[in-house]
Amino acid sequence: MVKEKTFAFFLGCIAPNRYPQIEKATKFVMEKIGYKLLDMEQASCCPAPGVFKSFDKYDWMVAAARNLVIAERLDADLVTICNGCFGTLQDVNKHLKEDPNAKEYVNARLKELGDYEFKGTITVRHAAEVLAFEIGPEGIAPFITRKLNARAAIHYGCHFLKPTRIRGLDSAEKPTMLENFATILGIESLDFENKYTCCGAGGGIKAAHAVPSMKIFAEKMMDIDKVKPDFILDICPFCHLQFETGQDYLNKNDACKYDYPVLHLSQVVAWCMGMDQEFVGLQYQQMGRDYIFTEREVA
Amino acid sequence: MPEPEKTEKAASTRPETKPKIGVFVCECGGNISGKVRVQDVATFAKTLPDVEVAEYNFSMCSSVGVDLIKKAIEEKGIDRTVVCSCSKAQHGPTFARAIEEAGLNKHMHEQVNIREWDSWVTKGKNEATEKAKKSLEAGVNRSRKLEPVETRQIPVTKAALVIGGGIAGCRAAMDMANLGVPVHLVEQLPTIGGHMTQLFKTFPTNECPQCSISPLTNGVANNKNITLYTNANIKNVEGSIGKFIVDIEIKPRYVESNCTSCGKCSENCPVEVPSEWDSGMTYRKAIYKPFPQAIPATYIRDKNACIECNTCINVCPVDAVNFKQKKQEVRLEVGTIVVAIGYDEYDPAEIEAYHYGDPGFENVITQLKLERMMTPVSITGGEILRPSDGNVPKKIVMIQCVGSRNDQVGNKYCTGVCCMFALKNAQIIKDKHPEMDITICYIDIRTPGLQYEEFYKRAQQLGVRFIRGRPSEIARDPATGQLHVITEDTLSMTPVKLAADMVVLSAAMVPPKTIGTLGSKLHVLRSAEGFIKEYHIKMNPTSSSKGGIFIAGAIQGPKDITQSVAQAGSAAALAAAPLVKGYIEKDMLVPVIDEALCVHCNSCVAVCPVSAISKSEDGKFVVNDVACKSCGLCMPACPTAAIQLKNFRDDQIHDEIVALTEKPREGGHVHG
Repeated sequence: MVKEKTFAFFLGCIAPNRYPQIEKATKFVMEKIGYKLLDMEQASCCPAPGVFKSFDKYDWMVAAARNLVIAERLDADLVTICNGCFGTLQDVNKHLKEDPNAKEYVNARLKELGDYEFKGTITVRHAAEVLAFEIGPEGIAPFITRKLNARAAIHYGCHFLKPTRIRGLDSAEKPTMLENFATILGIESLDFENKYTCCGAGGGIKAAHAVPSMKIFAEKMMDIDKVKPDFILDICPFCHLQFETGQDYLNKNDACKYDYPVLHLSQVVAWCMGMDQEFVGLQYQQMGRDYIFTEREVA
Repeated sequence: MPEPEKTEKAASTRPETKPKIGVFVCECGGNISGKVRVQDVATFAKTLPDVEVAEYNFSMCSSVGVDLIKKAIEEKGIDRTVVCSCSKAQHGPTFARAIEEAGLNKHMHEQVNIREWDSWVTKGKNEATEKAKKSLEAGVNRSRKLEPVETRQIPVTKAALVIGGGIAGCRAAMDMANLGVPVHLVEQLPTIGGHMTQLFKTFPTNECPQCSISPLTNGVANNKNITLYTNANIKNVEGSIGKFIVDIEIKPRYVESNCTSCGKCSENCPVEVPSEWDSGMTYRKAIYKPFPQAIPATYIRDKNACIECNTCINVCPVDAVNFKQKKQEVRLEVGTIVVAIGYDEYDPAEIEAYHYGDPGFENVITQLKLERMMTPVSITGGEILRPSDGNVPKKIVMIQCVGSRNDQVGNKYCTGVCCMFALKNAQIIKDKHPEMDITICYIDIRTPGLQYEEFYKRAQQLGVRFIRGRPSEIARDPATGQLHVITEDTLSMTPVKLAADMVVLSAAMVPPKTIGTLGSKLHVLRSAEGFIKEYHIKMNPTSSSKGGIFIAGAIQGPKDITQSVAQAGSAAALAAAPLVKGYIEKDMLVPVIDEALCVHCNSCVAVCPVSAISKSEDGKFVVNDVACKSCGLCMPACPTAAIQLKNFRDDQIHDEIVALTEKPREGGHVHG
């Protein structure tokens, strides 16, 4: 049995390097609700599910298994704040638990890296799913000190719900998890066209084919722009990066005038639990720096 | 293995004259001789004890080959045969019949399979030839102790049961009735006719299905040989071919049969609920007749919807409405059963990306609903109107393979009729509204056969648009409510977003929900997809796995009306044959019990799947020769080898195995 109310906190790459405010907000929220987050020393890239898996599935499994072993040693379930990390680590963790041949192969390769052995003792979690599903709207209510008066375009991203047979969290076509949770935070979730499509970043597209990536993103933004949200609410630093840099790109290249703030669920929950706006860190982001969080009057 | 003296004792009950064996090796036109040197095998056979004749032929199943066997019996006086050719299921009966015609008991034939088990699956010629020799020796060993088995005629109950009153069930019932067989037709719905009565037109001639089927349904209702039970379920089935005892339960209609079908009750009933027959496209009353031509024409009361206002009782001019009617149970005795319970339309709600049934997606309907909409008696009066607001749609998109050819929902098979019904409905709309834009999104268009490809061509000529690509999603703009079908035109490799005022899903045919419980009661095998499995996909697609139970129509797998009718005729002929003849023939290939060895442990009684073994009054165990299915399960269960199945006795099997397990010896045999 793993330690209760304790998580090995897997940061991934983008959050610590580009958006430390998401990491800070997550720690703030988790501690408020009574979870302890342990640092995973020497953790590497997850590695990214689109790029690495497509090139070499076995190398991808070995690198992911190494990260999983670090969490196993801490005797705690692993929590991520990123859809990509969630996808890779949960896929590999489940696969190695179910396939003894794969496990044997990976463990043989892990030995070359040092004293690593995958045992299959932990589960892989996503902070958004811990908050929105396990704790849930009712569970979070006592910890909320203020509600946010805002209308948001919620973006689930791809790896959080798909493949549904592995995730087993919610429908990938008509999920309700984040919308239900946002409501308790005071946020009105807006319905917009193509809500569940990709942001255009994943699968290595952003790095390898910037123009198609921006084409996909431009369509996404057009649909979001139609409903004029106060901000875009995501649960993945890579989507976060796409929404940030993508708006900037479209403003510079396609004569758009987007300035929608982009917020990770952890950032919003942290504010609702009393974290000052300056620590939420919008001022360090590219878009919507002038946005001011306002409290919703409770009737 | 039993002790030697025991087997001798079991064997001692049989004649002990020296056997004269005839061996015949088949080349199977190269199928066998391509690998096996049949001449060597025949030569080897001559070295085995008791083998009087050993020959080979190009094709043993030909009349030349069969004559070879008959001649050997007549001229050389052989009393048993071993034919080395194909499997026992393939041509075992051919040779058994041949020796019977030549005067031997047909059970004195032993079949050795050197084709499926040898030449087709063995690599080298030497290896295959050695294997054939071993198999032959095993067969010869086995044949030494073969004994004649009597074939008995067992009288049958001259009556048949048909389960399901759709097109297949009605056809089968009618065909059997015309052969003079009394038929009980059981339908779970209040009316017969099935899915066919729901259709607007039938492909490829665009005929009125109601007009096509009503002579048959009327005929079924009025035929003296057919007893119709509607609103009835199968409760229990016992017995086997020749005599099945079937209990059926008839649910109350709450309207007596003196109903004149005047409709006053329905006119005055204040309750309206969606009509099942109309796929929910119209409403019916709580007391109703499913559709104007319904058979029987007697009205029926839906007890769950009824508010018991008693209006119908008061307005009925013949006092036919009776709320106190009770369910009835009827016990039938029949000789054979035809199962024709059809199919269900796949529920597309399972494919979440299509949002069938979701709020805001009212304009996503199935082809069956479109059929109901297009009929003159529909809620729209036969007009094509989109359900959300009653406006005439300008752009209709049809999506093929919804629930078919879809691994994600677990249906790999092609339903095979959806292409045709989509083409038909698209044409009907185009004929009426040439200005409407109709697009069919497909994976492949499958229209094989006479008049079918022509039908496809006609749809193209009418201007129906075809896009090769399975849509990934039906998207809805939350602001305007506009639907878009998202797909890829895989021929031009371009993503496509089709605006649609109405989307029609060509849903698959799936096994009906009721098959689960009914299948268990009938003890028939089912395919992985859930349909009832046929005995042989090519040679016997109409028999089920259980003797005396036949299948007709879509319960065997998706079918169109033409195929269902054809199979129903076949099922009727097969099911009626023993009933018309009056008896079935059964080989008395049954176990015998050696009373001296039996320890009365009851093991055989416990394992017998058909309860054919029982304890008689004097304490002895007896076998019911008629009920026995010759499965042999009792033999390994017996601790003392007291129960022995004729021609499958322990010592016979032992002799056979010995030849297969000993090392090959040139020209030798292992049994002294």
